[in-house]
Amino acid sequence: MFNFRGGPRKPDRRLEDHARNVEEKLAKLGVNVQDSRIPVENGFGWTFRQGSATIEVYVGQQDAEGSGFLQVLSPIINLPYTNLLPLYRHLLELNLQMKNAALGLYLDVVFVFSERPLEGLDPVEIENIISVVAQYADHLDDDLVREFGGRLYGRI
Amino acid sequence: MASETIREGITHIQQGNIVEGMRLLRIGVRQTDVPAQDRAVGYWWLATYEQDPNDKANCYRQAYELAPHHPGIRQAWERFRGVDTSLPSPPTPAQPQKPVIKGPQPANQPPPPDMRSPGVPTPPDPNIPFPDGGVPNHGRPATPSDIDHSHRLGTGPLPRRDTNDSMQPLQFNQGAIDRQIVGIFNTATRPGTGFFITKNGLIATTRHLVGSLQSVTVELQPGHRIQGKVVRSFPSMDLALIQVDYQVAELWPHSQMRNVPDDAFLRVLPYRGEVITGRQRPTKRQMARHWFATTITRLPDAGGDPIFDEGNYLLGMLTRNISRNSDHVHGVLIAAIREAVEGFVRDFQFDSNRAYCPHCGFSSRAVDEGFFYCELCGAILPHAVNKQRIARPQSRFHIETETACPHCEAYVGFHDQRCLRCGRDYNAPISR
Repeated sequence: MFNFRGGPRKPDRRLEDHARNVEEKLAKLGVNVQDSRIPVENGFGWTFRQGSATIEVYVGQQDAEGSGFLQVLSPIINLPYTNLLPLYRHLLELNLQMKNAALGLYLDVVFVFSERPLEGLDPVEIENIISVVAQYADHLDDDLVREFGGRLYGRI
Repeated sequence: MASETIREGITHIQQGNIVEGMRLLRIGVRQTDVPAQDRAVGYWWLATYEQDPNDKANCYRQAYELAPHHPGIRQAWERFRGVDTSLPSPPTPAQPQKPVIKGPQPANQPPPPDMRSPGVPTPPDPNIPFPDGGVPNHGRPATPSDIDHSHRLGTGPLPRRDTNDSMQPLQFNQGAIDRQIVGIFNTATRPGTGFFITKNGLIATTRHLVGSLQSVTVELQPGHRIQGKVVRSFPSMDLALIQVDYQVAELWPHSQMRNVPDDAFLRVLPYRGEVITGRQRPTKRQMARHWFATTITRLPDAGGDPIFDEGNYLLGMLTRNISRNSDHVHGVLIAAIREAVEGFVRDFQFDSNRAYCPHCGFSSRAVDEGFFYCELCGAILPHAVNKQRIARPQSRFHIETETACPHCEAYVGFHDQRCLRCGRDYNAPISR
């Protein structure tokens, strides 16, 4: 999504296998897979809502050797115009406490983020990563806005 | 009768009824038919327990005017004014003396003050928590007058020793050492050492010792422990300042050196353990000017020990900081410590409602303005930890942001020309 890893690559068959696994797990979580698909240039993507949070899942190719990655992220809040220092500090403190996920900034949006190489990835792990990110995002967004201001992502 | 009132007031205070005792004392000291010595002692007691500095000063002054030759009152008055009390006291009038001092007294203490009227207890310290002659200051923060400016860099001629003494190093006064070096316990790491840096109870030790604690236990001498409040720390210098409810009569003379000469002799006095000697260690490493390297590798405690030079002038404080490629610990120059202390006192002079941020060591002004976060590091201040915190535009009060970001229009400042909020380059073309 952030295109950190070079130019466009064609998806290979292994990506499709992993994409199938992701869709199975999304269906298990109660997500309408057909509606959640989003067009992605270098792989596959899905987006759905969990509570107040929007979750995006990407399966993409990482480098020329063919190794890919699973990326699960959720934009949670737009940064406030004040109180940035306490908010940044709080985000870093949370970062240290979070398991299998991290907080980060892209432009003026705070993301909950988790990424893992596709190599050795099993379906249980896919489900675990998606669930973890979704839970963190759903819990954190309201708390952060209440304490530091700003606004929920995608809300006025 | 009025003497009886004073005596009753003192008894009440000794029993812990401070308010009632002070009320009776105020009545008793106004009676002009009471012997001046008794009234002086009454004022002395009042001065000890007055909270307001002006009232305290007034009581000390009254006591001193009524009994100028009373050694205890004179010493207390001069100590309160910050005058050196090392001068010999004038001879006391030949009167029948009946020292009435309750509680333990150390053997090396001067004899208790005399009394013209036998039966009136003299020492104005009922609980005897200060057996070495210090008096409580009720948590009063250090004021500029508490700092001995006579040794301040660049403010006048350096204090010179007498010619006769110049060839002889100063002798340590064991009593003074005992009073000025303290043990620091219940720390973030191991027990360590501290030493008084102002006369009214400000102790210097290392930040490494206190960590993010807000209070530690200070041992003035074995068996005499009091609570110390961490009031400021400077992580970059590994310095922490602890305020205790205690005063010392004098401070060690400080070295005037801005840096320690190569191979200079160093003597380290820990609170517990043996005296350590070493030398300044010449190094080509670029260091901040407040650091100096030593040849010492072994510390008896977690640091904070005062370092003295060959002439027994206080040179600095030993820390546990080492360089990347050697085990030799570094010290902090006393001049840098004094600058830090003066800055702290100055901050408190202008704004006494500052609160200590245990995360970064800063004296935060945010509490006074009703905010929750330290303006320096953004951490939640101790008073707000268990409060419900709501979004408030605190940064407008504490961060100077006169320039708005051309992209997101936030007044949050820039770093490396990038807006701290949206991360866009200040000079990048604006896209709407």
